[in-house]
Amino acid sequence: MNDSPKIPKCPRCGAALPANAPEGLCPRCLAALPLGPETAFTAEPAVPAKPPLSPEELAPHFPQLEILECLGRGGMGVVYKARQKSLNRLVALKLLAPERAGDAEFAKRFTREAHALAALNHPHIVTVYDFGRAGGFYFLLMEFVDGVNLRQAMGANRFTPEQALAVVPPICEALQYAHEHGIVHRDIKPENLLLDKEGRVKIADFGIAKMLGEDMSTGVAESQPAGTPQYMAPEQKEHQRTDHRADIYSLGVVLYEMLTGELPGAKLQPPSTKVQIDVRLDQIVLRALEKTPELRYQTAAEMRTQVETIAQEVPARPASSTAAAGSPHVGKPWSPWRWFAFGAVSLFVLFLICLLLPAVTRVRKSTMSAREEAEEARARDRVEEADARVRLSRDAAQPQNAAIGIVVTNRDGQMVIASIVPNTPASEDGHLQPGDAIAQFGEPGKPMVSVAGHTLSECVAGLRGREGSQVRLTVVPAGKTKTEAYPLTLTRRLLPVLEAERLGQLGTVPPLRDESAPAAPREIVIKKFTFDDTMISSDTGPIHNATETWGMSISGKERNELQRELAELLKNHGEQDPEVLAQRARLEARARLVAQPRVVRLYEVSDPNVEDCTVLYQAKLMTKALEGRAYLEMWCRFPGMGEAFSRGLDQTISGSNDWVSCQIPFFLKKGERPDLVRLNVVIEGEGEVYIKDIELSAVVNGPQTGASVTPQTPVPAK
Amino acid sequence: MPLSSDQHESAEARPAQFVTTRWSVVMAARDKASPESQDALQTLCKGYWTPLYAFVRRLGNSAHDAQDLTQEFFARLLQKDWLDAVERERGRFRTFLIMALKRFLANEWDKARAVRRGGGQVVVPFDTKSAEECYLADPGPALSADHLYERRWALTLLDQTMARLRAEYERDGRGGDFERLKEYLVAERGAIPYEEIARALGTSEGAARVAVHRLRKRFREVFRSTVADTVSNEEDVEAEVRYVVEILGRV
Repeated sequence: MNDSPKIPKCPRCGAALPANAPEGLCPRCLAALPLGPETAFTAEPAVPAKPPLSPEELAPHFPQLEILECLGRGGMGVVYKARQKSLNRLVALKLLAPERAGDAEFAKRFTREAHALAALNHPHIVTVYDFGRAGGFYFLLMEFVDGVNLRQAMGANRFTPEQALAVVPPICEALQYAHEHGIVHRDIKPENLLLDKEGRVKIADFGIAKMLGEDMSTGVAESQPAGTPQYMAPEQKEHQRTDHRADIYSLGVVLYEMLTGELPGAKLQPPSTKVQIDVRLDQIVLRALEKTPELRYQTAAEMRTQVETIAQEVPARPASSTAAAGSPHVGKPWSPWRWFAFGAVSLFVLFLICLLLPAVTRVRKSTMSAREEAEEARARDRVEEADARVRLSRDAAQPQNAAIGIVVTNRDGQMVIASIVPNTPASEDGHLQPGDAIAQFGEPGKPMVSVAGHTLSECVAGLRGREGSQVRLTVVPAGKTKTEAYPLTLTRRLLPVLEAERLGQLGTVPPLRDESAPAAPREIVIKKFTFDDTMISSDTGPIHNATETWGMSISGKERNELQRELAELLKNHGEQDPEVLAQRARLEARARLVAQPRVVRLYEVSDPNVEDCTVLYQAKLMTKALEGRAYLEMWCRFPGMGEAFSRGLDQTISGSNDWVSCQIPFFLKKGERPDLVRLNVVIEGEGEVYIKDIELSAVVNGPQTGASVTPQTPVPAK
Repeated sequence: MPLSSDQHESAEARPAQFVTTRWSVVMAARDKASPESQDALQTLCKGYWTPLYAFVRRLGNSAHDAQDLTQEFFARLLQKDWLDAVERERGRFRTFLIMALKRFLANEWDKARAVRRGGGQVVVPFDTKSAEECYLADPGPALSADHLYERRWALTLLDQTMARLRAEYERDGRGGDFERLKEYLVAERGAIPYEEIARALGTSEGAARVAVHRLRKRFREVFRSTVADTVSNEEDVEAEVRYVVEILGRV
């Protein structure tokens, strides 16, 4: 294999010709034969679709992720399971099929999917975390649902009617929500309905969702097959005007299939003729399956109400975890990693006996249905069994304050789960859920007092953990939208919400704090970089017309050159000509290279003399025609401990933008004193990036720390 | 055919439209292993032994250890409840096999070594000598074990295809034709000397064209059929074909 005699090469393609080649023929040339399913046998071999990239191949394009495995391949692309390193959570990474990345129409649809999903913020719709372009393909970063789809769950066994009924209301809820936002899914089918381990259902794959109001008459492109024939509403199949009622039809088909195990045939037979179920279910199914949209349920909410009415009267719900209807959720079990992390949080304080809040229930009564109430009561009862609980409550004088956060321990070492109350947007957006960790200020035994001096007494939330584990809690004010509520994960460091609160980024409601805490965080500037400070990287240069601005540009000049040469070659040579192939390879290689993230080092600060605080790297970025993205990055070196970095991946900039303020934090604990801080900017792809107003500062932590920040004038390394 | 949700592979398609292939037979058997499914599995294993062996060898095992290991793996595969191998990979034999092997290596190998060999155990007859030669003779670049497995798999598929093709022609008494025509499978369309072929075959130029065309067409059909034998859904055939083609196209 290494020092063997010269290996013969195939005269056609140049590949090495192994001695054991099949019938002596070059395998590569054999593979170039047309092997597609078409019976028409063309001369040119079809361009094969690339196989899904392996996790190793993907890794460089997504430095912020640890790609774990490929989950599968669908119509729009490939999906991988990954772990978001900075937040240590599992995510699903969906990549647009690379061979279609150049297809503008397809890319547009993908962008549409991303926006559609991002606009939707519902516990029963798969959450979109990020969307963009990396390594030449578009990607969608989504919530990872650890479970199966409805198809797999149905499997060989039909659902019991109870299970089917339990799954439908949340879907209706989600659909209603989507419809209210003007989005029709158009491809509701069992494969797109995911069930996690708790039996919670989520709608996925809004890939062909249409935004109502969008122009539907864009010709050929729109007549592409949309939806799955068996589940499509008649008006959808005939390319007539479809609206949200098409989703209701599809859901009807799914329900039919769940109950009877079959798809509704040409002659629609009511489900009760096939299985033993309540005849009133027939009415629901048949109404959803009406051929004329006007005769169906006009809203998903209507269907939900009908289903719930019957479901309530259905006797014993199965103990299995498919019961997922209604707002209060049973918290999800924690994976081993979480248990570990949770144990590690034991530094923090967890405490206080509690009882459930009458005030909370009082307010909720008016908004909850009887069934939700019953669920709530059950959850409450469980909470009350516990030994120790924390209660923070809504301040009666400020009903906007919604407190979220309890921690409970009981004798068995299990924390009791309650629901998140009240159902504020922040808790419903999927970013805060029972089972998530939340941080808080305060000391055990002392009453919680808001800055305004109001005593806070109770609140409810849900958490799980090992006995003796302690967490801090915080208050996320009501009215916070998804973009403002921070995803929370257990980390050893203070959680982002905490910092956001301290920095006043969480809005007008004053945070809870301990009485002895100082009024406001102190921000100390370590260094404000001026135009006179030369940057380290030689890639940057001062921009002529702008003041105080540095810029970097990765131009497309080289690519244009290569493309011009290719065009020239193609005039005289065929596609298969080795020179043409080589030129294409060069183009490809360059594209790959350019797509790699490039770290541009701006400044270094030695011995900033900070510890036990939050270091902030702030700058303003502007981009021009950036195909890819740019973001800030900060490196800290800790003597004897190593290096760590922080990246502003939630603030990436692409395309063309005016000045955008970016800021990334780096949390330092006691004992963590970096001796070197590097400020960089990372650029992926081609285009121009400008930066100005670069500043490094530190924010001192709250009362429990003895932070020391001594501003000095650091000497930037040249 | 509409494709399933991206996040989770769909379950098997209804078999009505799909020709029963070996792997689909194995998959269809599920919990109760029938003699047909056992048979099918055994045939599949015999055919695709080489890539596994290459994988095990590339992991650093000596030829002797690799033999032992692979033998043991297959013996177990054919014996015990192999369906508890990775659920998600059941769609394709290729991925199922490598996953099962990795699991075996992770869990079972140590236990297996402790068990005394022989005495009722099914020892599957594999040609380890030729596999070893094959492994050593591979002139490809130093690939990782996984890549080597894939590559070997693709080459094995080609081998099987060509073997079947040859068998077909020989059965029809046209073994000589196959021998003469096979090189034109890879020739460029414009570069096939039909007159020469016509002379060699003793037919007209028109007949020579048809013969070459038929061979290429048949190659494609047999190739797809061979690939199909290793998947259980019709939808997967196309994807698997493309995947194998891509692997072969590398290097």
